[in-house]
Amino acid sequence: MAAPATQQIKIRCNDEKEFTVDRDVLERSVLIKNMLEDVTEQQDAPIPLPNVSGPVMAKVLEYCTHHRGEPLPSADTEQSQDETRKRTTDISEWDQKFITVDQEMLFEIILAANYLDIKSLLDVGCKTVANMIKGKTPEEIRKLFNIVNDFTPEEEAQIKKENEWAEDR
Amino acid sequence: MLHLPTTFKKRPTHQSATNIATSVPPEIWLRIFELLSFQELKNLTLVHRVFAEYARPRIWRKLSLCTLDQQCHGKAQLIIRQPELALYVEHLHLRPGYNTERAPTDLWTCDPSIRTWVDVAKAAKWKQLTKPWRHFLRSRQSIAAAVRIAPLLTNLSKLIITASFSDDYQPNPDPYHKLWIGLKESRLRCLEIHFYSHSSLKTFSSILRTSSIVLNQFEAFFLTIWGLSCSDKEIQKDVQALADVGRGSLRSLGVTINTYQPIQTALMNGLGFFPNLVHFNGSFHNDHPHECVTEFLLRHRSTLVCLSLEGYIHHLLPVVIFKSMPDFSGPLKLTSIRLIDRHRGMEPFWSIVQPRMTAYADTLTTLAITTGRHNRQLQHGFDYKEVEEVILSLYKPSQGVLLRKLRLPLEYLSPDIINLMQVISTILQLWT
Repeated sequence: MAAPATQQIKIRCNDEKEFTVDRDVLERSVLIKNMLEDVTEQQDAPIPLPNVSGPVMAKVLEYCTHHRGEPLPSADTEQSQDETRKRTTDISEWDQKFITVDQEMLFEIILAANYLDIKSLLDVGCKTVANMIKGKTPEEIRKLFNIVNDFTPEEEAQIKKENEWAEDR
Repeated sequence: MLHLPTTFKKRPTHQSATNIATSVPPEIWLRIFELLSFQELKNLTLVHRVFAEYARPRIWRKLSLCTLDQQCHGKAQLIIRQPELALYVEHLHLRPGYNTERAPTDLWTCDPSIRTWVDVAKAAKWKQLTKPWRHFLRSRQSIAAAVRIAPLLTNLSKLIITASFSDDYQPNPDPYHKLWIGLKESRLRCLEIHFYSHSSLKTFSSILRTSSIVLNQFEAFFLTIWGLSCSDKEIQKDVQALADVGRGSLRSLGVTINTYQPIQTALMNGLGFFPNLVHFNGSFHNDHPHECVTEFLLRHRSTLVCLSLEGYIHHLLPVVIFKSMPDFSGPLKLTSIRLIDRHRGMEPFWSIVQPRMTAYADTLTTLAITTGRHNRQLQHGFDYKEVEEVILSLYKPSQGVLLRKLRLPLEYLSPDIINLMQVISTILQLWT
């Protein structure tokens, strides 16, 4: 007996770029999954995603396709997931290659994962940024993210003094 | 809502259109910051005011006021000057005294006019004081600092007091009363106290008895009692005060006791009944209290789901108690079992754990057995195939995979089983 054909869903990004994707791939996004569950009749009109551009969505779909079939986190396990996430910034080999993109794209992927509610992709993005920050001085972090120092020397001295008295114990 | 000091807000921020600090939403940065160490967070506070705003609550989440900390006074001053820092403090660790804090006699004997600590401070400059005197005065500073900032700590949820006054010293309970009064408006739900002398226990018990804090607001209580030198009669009323902590509300109780048998029994019996207790963590340095611990567990069999028992040096309290598990008729449905004894091999544990596995197979999510794993002699003669069989039976897909955390001495298990456990833990990690 032939396997039932996977339902194809159309999505439209904010730059009018459209994708036709297998439903199970799209359902990695909790936002889209909920949208699809709310719609009882089959619709031909594409789902509008006003916060995601075509190139970013292409990357997100690459991630979702690779991880299709993996179990989605359930609500009652999110707490333990958070605990695990806090302990480690390890990223699997495939995810590491996938997320090797320029900084602008990295943050676009993080924002898209946050909007589309794809927790595992959001974690990969956040871990990547955390790894970029690790071991760097404030000046190096500013240089990394092209951030202008907005403290006066007095404020900087005040924070340094404050930090001296803060302890991790 | 996070606040920067008002002094920071006077100056307009220099935000460019592409400033990543401000263009990325706070929830993303907070998620990233959760993955960073304390030192990295400190560095981030100096990068940009937005990062400072996100990182400061994490940096100030824990506050420690310690006898040996020369900056107690400075910390209190800073918090009083910048009260928003106090709002970030969730855990306060107060260490008011330690073992060398014996009454030093040098100044008392050389100058009869010195009667009080204030006299001491007035009489001598700091550098001229001997080390024990400095400890004494810093001890006053740590509790004084805590009293000063206590009313500001409205988000405080956990108070840790490590009290190690020596038995020949009676701490003054007044500042502790003031501390309690100051914390009345806080969200204090977890109390962790470590006593290393009877005078410490006595002082805190008297404070608890006359406490202005509603004791049944506590949900978690962790108690360490170590080396008390008093009679069991003396200790009865002190223990009774402790037993009132969390009466009716307590969900988690941790007890570490290393003292002689009558006191252990008095303590465990004095703790009585907590109708909502779900988690019990008992650590004992000998197996004498096994009867009263078993009694305690029996009293809580309808609510208890997490059980951790730790035994020390040549005693088998976890094993003894676990042996009496068949008597625990009723709804004791454990989800977590942790057994620890680094002076034992696997055999004594396994002989009692294995027959109980069936009873807990449909609830158990955590099983941890810590043994003297590096001592091959201890492990000699034990066949780990039995353990492997149980692991396999617990991971049968038809029964659903419940066991999420499994800690066993891996070096004695076959590579196939370790691979299986790793695959399952990877799946569970992705899943959970």
